[in-house]
Amino acid sequence: MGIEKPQSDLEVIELRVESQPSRYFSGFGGSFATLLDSCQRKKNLPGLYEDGLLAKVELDGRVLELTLSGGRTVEEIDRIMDMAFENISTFLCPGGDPGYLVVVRCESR
Amino acid sequence: MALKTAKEYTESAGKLTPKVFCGGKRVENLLDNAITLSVVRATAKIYDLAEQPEYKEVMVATSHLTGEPVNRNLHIARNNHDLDMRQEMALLTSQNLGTCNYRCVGCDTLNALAASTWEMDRDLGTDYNQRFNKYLTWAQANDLACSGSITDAKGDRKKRPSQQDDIDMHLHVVEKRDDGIVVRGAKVSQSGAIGAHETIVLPGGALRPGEEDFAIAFAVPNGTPGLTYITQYNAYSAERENAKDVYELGNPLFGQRETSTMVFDDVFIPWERVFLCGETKYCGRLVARFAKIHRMNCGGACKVGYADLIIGGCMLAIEYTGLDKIPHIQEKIIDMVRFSETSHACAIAAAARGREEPEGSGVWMPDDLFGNAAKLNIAHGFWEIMKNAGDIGGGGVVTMHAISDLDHPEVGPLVRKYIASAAPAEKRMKVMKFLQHWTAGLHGPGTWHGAGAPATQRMALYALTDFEAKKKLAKQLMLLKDD
Repeated sequence: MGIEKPQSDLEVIELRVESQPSRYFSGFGGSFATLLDSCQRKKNLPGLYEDGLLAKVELDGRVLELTLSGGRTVEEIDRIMDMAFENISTFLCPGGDPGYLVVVRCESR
Repeated sequence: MALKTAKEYTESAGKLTPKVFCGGKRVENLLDNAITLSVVRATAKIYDLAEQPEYKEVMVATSHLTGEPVNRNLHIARNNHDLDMRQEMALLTSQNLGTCNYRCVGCDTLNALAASTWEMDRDLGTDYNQRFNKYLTWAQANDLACSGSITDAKGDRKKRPSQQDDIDMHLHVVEKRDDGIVVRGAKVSQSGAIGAHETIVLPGGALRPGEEDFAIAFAVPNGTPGLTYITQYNAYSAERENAKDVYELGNPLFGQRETSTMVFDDVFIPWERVFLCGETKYCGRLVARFAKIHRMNCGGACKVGYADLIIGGCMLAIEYTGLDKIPHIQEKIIDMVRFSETSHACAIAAAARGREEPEGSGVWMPDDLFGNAAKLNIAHGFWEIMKNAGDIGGGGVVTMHAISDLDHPEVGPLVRKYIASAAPAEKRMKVMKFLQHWTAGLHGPGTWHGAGAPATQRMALYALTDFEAKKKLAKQLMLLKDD
């Protein structure tokens, strides 16, 4: 039997943290929905268990805006978001055509 | 991305933070806890084996979806050679780990799903197989460690899933949404999920009309919110946690087999990852396919690899104690080889006689009769192997001192003096600890129940055997005419 044509179903998610250049994450279909469900229904980010981490969650179409509690450095936010994506099998990728945007900021700097 | 290296897998495992509890404590980092680290190490070794040129034929296959090389743990068997290499992988990994290939159950669930999703699409016009192939393509491209999860908590065994006082005793759908489903329940005795990237979940068994909410199969990332892992805990867990150095342990790097109860507290699963939802008619066949594959691998190959290790340990034990020329010991060793190799022969036969199922699907399944014979044979044979190992090893298998005693200023010289035999004390102590790992460890009941308890294989063998044909042969030879 010959090779069957693969039918990719990837999602690319653009991540913007504060005013830093965007980074991109690639996951299987439904990754953004899983992240969104985590933030909205479970009130936390995947793989993070600190109560009250998410101060505000807003969805506008395909744009998810997250406000983290307290003041955190860009490096700390990057580490948090890397962990959140990794725990739902969504991995850093060079770029591509993002179908979703996640914007993350802190309550205070 | 091509195949992951062991280093790349370990780095990725270090970034995962599933909610794991072990011995009443929360595990914050999988690499910092001695028990969860043994799972990560064992899983890393599976990646490492795929990097070794001498094991490529066994550990690496060509994806039928992309034509790219993939780890065999993510490969769908497309012919008899694939089945043969699959069972050889089970043998090789057990020989190298002395514990589970934690990607093994995931591999067999994927193969069962490849067949059953194709069948459902053919019969019902669903698109499960297309979804499944997309998922598999992605998992292969990222060389993900997938574990598998089947056994529900079950509750009162006299009652059907929907009759339980607590409906959560079987994993079930609590909500269907436009973007996916929400599931609740638990899967028990789950090998290796804590070190895997993803878990492939199947229904726990055959289901009837009216039990649609329990009919679910899906893939879930292991850090998904709502998932909690409660690990097993036993004397070996405590020993590992308290060991000053892993050198003291029976299986220093990879440990006993580590499992967990995987609790799903309203976990969201997007539709893209759902491969069966509500089709009760197909659950029994799906689980039977998993069992068919897993009995060949688990029974006829994995445990044979363990037996190789136990036999090797016994040969060292008799060499170190000066008993290597004793005839009754040699007889016992021969019996161990007999039990082991006949089981492996059944696995090889199951692969050789395997065939496409369902016809037209392109998925190859092992022969059911030989697979069940492999598992049933080793379930009984493994106890015999362990009995002989305990006999050959002698009382020292369970009475041996801590290896760290060798370093104690007062008792160290005494232990060196009195435990030495035909070999220095340290060698003898190491092999005793190794045999203790097997004969007084968790692998006896594990082998008995893994891939289903022997009662299920007996039922299968009775159902699969053509007794009428055998009666006909007997009558023919007797010249006994039909009525």
